[in-house]
Amino acid sequence: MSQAFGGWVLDHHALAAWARVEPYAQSLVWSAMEVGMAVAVPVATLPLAYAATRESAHDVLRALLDLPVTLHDPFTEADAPELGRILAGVTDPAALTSDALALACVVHSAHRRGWPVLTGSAAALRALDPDLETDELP
Amino acid sequence: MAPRERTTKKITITLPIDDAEAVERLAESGQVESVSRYVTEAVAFRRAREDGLAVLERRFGKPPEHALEWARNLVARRIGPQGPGA
Repeated sequence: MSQAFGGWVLDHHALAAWARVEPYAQSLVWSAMEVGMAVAVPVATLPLAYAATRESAHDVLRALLDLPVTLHDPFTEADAPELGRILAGVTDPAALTSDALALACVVHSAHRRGWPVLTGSAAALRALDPDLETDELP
Repeated sequence: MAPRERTTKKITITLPIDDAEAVERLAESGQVESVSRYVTEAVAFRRAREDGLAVLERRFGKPPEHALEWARNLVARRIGPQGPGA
């Protein structure tokens, strides 16, 4: 499906919210699809999303990955230098959490696409990029 | 040798003059492969959107109105008053 109209990058908090069928995460994807916008899933966030949700929710997560509006952003060797720059650029290293690598992938996807991030926790992303555009799930 | 199976069908469509001329200009300038290609992609785009919404509705039901209103506001803020084509 075309990505001409832009969309959102989802972090693992948003993915877990989707998997738990929380209404705001579901609504964002629904509304994006209504107007032809897309959602991008950095694959490096998927293990955390699976870890944060019950086995029974994993089919729901896979349903999102199969939607025609869902774009998959891979995690490859070619991305490593930029991810390193994002991680090294953190102003307060103490603010880095165990999910820092996945969040760096989210920031990288958002920069590359010029899209905002849908998240359940904007503070962790802002530690990596204070200027990152985010929309936080209620 | 067996005849090749056709995967396309020639049809006649009617577009508003402005739209038709805009697509023709895109094709003439090489920005799109052809008018047919442009229309094919537009149809595929709409079908993917409608199929996706049908999958969501069948699987999870339509989200509650208060959450949809929140999401539609976000979408509107992102695409602006001109709509997605702007």
